[in-house]
Amino acid sequence: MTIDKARRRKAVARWHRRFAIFVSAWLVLLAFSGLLINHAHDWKLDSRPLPGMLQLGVYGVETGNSDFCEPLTADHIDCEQLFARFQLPVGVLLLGARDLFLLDDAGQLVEKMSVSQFGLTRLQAAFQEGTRVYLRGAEKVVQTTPDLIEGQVLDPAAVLELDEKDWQAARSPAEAITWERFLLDLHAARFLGPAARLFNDLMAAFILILAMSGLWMYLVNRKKS
Amino acid sequence: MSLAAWLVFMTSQVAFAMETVYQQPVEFLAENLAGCQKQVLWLKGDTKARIEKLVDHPYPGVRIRYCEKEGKTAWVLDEIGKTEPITSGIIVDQGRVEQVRVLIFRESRGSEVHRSAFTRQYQNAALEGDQSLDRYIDGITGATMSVNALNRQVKLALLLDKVTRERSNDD
Repeated sequence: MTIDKARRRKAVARWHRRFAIFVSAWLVLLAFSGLLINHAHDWKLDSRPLPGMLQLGVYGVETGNSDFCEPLTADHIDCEQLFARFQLPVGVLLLGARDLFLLDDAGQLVEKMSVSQFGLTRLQAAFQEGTRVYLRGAEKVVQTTPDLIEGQVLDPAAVLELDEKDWQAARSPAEAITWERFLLDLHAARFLGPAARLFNDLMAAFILILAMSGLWMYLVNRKKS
Repeated sequence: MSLAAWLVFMTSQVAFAMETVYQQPVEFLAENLAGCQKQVLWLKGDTKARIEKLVDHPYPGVRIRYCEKEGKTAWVLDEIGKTEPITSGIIVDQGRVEQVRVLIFRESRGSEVHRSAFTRQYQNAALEGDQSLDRYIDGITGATMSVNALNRQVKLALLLDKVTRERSNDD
């Protein structure tokens, strides 16, 4: 082997290693996101909404109104799910799709109520009329007592009369951005626009270089041995 | 790499959790304590401190709702297993557990606690002092955190029932 050939082999091996290190992190991310996308349905990633912080940060989509949480001194409140705030004689009621939070005037949490306690799986909308709150779920509409301890299921005729009221709608999970959408965008590097696509192209070119340099090194070594 | 590690963490913590509704709380009350009267227990005095000592974490709110009929009380309580709340319904009759049922399970594993073979162990259990049950509850392999959460719920229901009886005696 001539000195030139030896130098060329060393140079190729050195650049092969550099490219490999540079590309490996991206490749791991791509493989991982691809794996999750492949099983998105099995693992319910196609229906599970992205956490509100990510929806806001990555897509600029607001899931709830975090302003509702501002005056609170209490913990244990998932601000992301909140969609309405009613002032009642018993205190302030914050409404989320899964839970209701009753607060006193100082903003201290009095009670966290699951909507299941009113016979609803998930809250779709609500409105207030005087001291009463009306809660609409997929199955029924419930009218609460002023103290929010009990809920009375309304008959269909009464529900029809309420259709014109000023219902405040909860954000349903179907409207939310899912993990699958996020993973697809991550996989295709769509978050950063043309720059990310260019980066993806560059990485793909590096992989082609890696494949070719690896093949070249394999053939040279094979010939040598 | 850090993004990939973060994704692994997030998906393991959040994405795989599912919600299974075994029975709606309203249906549980209708089936086990039909016609019971809904009430609220205000956590006055040292009650909140007793609760927090028992469950070993801060307890949100100052009132807890329950249903009462002929000396029996029914409690629908949430307690976090690993990351998600488990909702259980517990009927207490004069300081002894009459019925325990897991109503909504949201964790990705440990759902075996909903089986009646497990929850039957709580029947007639009572509280010793404010902290422990009067019997040993067999755990379930792979569901330790869910079992612990259910133990806390049952003890909490017994403690709350005790508080309601103490208050009615004071009145």
